[in-house]
Formats: sequence, C-alpha cells, structure tokens
Amino acid sequence: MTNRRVVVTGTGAVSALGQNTEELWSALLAGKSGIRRLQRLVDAGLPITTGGEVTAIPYDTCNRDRKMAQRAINEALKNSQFNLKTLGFIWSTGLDIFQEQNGNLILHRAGSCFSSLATQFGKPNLMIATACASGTQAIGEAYWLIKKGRIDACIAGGSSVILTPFYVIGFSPLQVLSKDIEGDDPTKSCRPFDKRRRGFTLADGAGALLVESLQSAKRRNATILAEIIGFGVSQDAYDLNSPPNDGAGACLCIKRTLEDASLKTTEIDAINAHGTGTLVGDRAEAAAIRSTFGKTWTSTPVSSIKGAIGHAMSSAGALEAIVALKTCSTGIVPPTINLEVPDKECELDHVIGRYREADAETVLSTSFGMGGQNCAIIFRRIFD
Amino acid sequence: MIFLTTSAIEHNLSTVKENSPKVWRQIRRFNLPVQLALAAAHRVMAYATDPSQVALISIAPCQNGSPAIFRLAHAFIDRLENNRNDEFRINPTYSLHVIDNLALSSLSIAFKNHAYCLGLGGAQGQAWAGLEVVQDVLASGRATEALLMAGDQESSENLTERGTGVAALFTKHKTRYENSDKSIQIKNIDRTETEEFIAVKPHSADGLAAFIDRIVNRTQKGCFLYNVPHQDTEGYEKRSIEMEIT
Repeated sequence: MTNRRVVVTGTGAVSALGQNTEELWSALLAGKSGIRRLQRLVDAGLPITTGGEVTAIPYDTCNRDRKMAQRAINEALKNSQFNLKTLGFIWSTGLDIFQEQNGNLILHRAGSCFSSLATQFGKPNLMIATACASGTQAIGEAYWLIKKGRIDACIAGGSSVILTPFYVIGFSPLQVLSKDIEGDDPTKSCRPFDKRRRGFTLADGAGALLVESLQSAKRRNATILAEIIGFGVSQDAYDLNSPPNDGAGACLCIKRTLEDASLKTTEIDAINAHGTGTLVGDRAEAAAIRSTFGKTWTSTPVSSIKGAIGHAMSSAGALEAIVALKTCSTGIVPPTINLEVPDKECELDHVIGRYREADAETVLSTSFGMGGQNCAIIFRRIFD
Repeated sequence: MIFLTTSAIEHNLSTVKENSPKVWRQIRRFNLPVQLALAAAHRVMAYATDPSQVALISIAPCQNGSPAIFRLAHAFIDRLENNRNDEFRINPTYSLHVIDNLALSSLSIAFKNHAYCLGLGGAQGQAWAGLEVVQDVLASGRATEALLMAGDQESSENLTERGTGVAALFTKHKTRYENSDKSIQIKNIDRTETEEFIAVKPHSADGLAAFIDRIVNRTQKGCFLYNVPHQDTEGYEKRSIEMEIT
C-alpha cells in the first residue's frame, strides 16, 4: 500500500466562543469563556444550570443539530471549489436528542442527522460513535484512508447538540458534571487540572476539517494549514465510567500515535489535552502524559480548551484539533482558563493565565471517550 | 480479501440467561440492542486466535434508547409543563441506554482487549461501511483478526423484546468457516450512488444478519455476488458484495 502525505486545508468551528475558527481562536487567546448560566436549565429546577451554548443558532431552531454541523462544514469548504461528490464524509453527530418543542417531546435521531448531511458527499460515509473520542477518530480515520490511497479528500469532524435538560439529567447520575454551588461564577464552572475542579460543563458545537492528500492540495493550489503525521487508537479495557488511575490506556494510545508518526516525545512541542475537569479523568491523563513523555513532560506545554467552551462531546475532538492546527501554524499555545491552583496529582507544564508563545510546530491532541476508547492525533506545521 | 471465521445471530436472550450466566451478568444492564450485539459477539470471540488482539468494530443501533428512557423523558416533559421543581431522579443504569459505544467497552473489558477499535453510529447502511473498515484494518496490518458486531431493536419507544444481534469474525488468512469444510471469502464491496432516494426503515443489524445468514447457508461453491436488498442500504445507493466459497 502507498503512504501518502496528508494535510488539512480548511477548518470550520461553531462553538460557545463564536461562529467560526477565527472567533474561537481569538477568544481563546484573550482568555475568554463561552460558558454561561442558561435560563432554561434554571427554569427546569436542575442542579446544573451552566453550559457552553452556541448562541448563533437559537435553541429552538428546527434541525439545530444539522444546521450547526452544516455551518462548520461550509466554513471548512469555503473557497475550496470541490465537487462534494468527490469527497468522503467521516462525521460524528453524537447522541439522539430528546428536544422539547411546544410541550411535545421530539426525538431527533443522530443517525438521521448524519444521513441528511452525508447525502451531499461521496464515498465513504462513516458515522463515528466512540463517545468523546469521536471527533478525533473521525479525523484520524480520514487521515488513514487518504494516507493509504483509498480516497483523495474528505470532510471529517463532528457536531454535538446535547445541552438540553434531558441530557443534563441523564449525565447527572454519572457524577461527571460540574454542579452549581452557591455564589459561583458560571464562567468558572469547568476547571481542568485545577485542585478545585468539580466536573465538566456540557456544550454544543461543531468542528469540521477538510483533509486531503498533499498531492490534491498542491494540484488545486490550496493553502495548507498543517500536515497530519500520526494517529493512534486504544481501549482502556478497564471500566465503563472511569479510566485506570495510571492512564494506561491513554498512554498506549499516545505511544501508538507517536509510533505511527515515527516521532520521539522530544519532538512534540505542545499537547492539546482532553482535560475535561473531572477528578479521575484529569489525573489519569496527567499520569499518561508523564509516563509517556518521561523527563520531557516538564518542558512540553499542555493546555485544555474545555474550561473555555465546555465539553462538546462528539465534536470536542474536532474543535480541539482545530485549535491544535492553529497552534501549529502560529506557534502559540492557548491557556487552560480557570486553571489557577493545579492539582498536585496533575503536575504538567500547564499553560496558565495567558497564552504562551512556544514556537510549537508539532502538536499532539488527545481525546478519551467515556467507556474507554482513546484517540490521539499529531499535526505538524508544513514548510514548503 | 478477507475470510469469515465464524458468525452468530441472536434474537433471543433467554438462552444467554440460562446457559451463560457469566455473560449475562456482563450485559444485563445495557439496553436490548447492546445486549443482543454482545451476546452474539461473545459466541464469536470464542473462535478468535487471540481475543485480546482482535480489532473491534461495532455499529450502534438505529433504534437507540429503551422504553425506560422514553418513559423518563415523557415524565420529565410532564414535570416541566406542570412547573414542578421537585428533584427528578434517573437510574444511572438508564444513562447507559443512551450512550452508543458501550458494546465496544464491554467487550474490550471482557477480553482485556486494548487493540484498534471503531464505533460506528446508528445511521442506516453503516453495516456495509463497517465491513469496508474490516477490510481496511486487515489489509493495512493493524490486526490479523477483526470482529464486526451490531445490535438493534424493533422500536425503542414501545416495550418490546424483539431485536437482532449479529457478530462476525474475520481474518486475513485463508481459513475454514467454523467447523465446516468451506472457506468464505469477501473479495470486494461495491457501492454505486443512485439518483433517487427511496426511504428505508433504519435498522443496524437486520441487513448484516440477512447477509451472514445467506452466505453461511450457501452450499454452492464458487464466486457469487450478494446484492444488498434496498431496505438494508442507505436508501440512495446500490451495494453488492463479491464473494467466493471454496
């Protein structure tokens, strides 16, 4: 089989921090938070009332899930002039949505959302469902298919509309959401790796990447944002809800990714962490990074964007990949907002307070799904 | 080119409850589609050379959820309409009924499997995309054996015990099917998009089960083409699978 170089030539991001990639990136560098208190959750009398809402597409919009995804896809394809039928489509649309509309319970099937998006595109159509790792796996599968010459180009990523009272209730028993406390500042509800963290904040969002072979990008004279040089997958095989304390599954995943990229840990300039803000998740991830990177963990900057936009579930990996791409192209690592007092068990080279100009060229982005599916991907700045 | 090592189709969980209490304990808290997929997968994994190294590919149900989840959702809406602010509780087990990757998790835990995995979502026609992934995984050398599993139910809204679970184990090396004297080889999967969309009833497992049933029970040797019935496709494609039985 051939081994082709794979690049990213377009991105689209819809998040609590804006309607496009540039809005997300500039808000992250400014240390802004998109998390706010949501009146509909307050009205429902729920113990959790904060979330990363996408305000650009109102909550009661019909087919909101599809529209959010389409907006991100359109941005990624902007000016590309691709015949969409020549593109594969590898996407995660998350979970079925129980949405309340006019007192009726409307069920939007995630599969239906996927199918309606997929009809625009060619082959293959893969709907990825590996929980919080879905967005990263969608991009990684696209990378592998292009690398091996199966396809030339693909739209990959994910979307998630989950910030409904029903899912707030549904996730509550799993003890992973950040509960309200009296007098709290909603923008500080999610604090990845911080000693005072109390879980993650649900969010909506969509992230899309246009992934293609280097040949294809050159042929059409496209602007190359970064190269994808490695991808890896593993399973914890440990527990349905929690990772092992030593992060062994995550560690295996990162090692496989480095191996796929033929890189040493010293060649990774920055890490975009999964960093959800849960006690067990943060500690396992920190342990995995320290274990994999050995002595070099002390000089490899780590940041998580979930404090700023919340956990966008099946689109989280795609939105984080977009941020990793921006880090590759600018060298700047955004801060982990709300991280003020690092947990000693989460000791890493955290980017605290403000962004860091690290001249980062090679960036690792990690995603670890509930249930133990782990994915990681490496992007590298391209010089040509 | 890949070879089918073994397969299993499950419609009924009573045999699992009676004959495989250990497996039942592992799967009982999930909703029906996941239970059926896992019941089939456990049967198939018994034939794997090394179950811890098998690549796992699962397809989530198109008819997701469970009657319990639907009852809770309706109760919640009722509560909102009546402005009741009393605490609303949900059984943690029911949370598991809406999460679509747990068949993978459960199987990986049961077999201490850290290998490559992929969960595909509950969109119509993903079974054939999954079969293509199996081909790619084995061809690229990411694994030498791969399991494809799916489970679905007739309806998640009504109290039903009707559903299908299916699992198939594939290998890149020529092998005989289970204990028979025949080899079943998948040579190629072809997809052509059609102009017209004809609606289908989404179901993750029925199409794959029908395909497995047909090829396993075929006695005639030689090459043949399995044309996927329209109701088992995405709705806007023609699928055919080139097979050879030797």
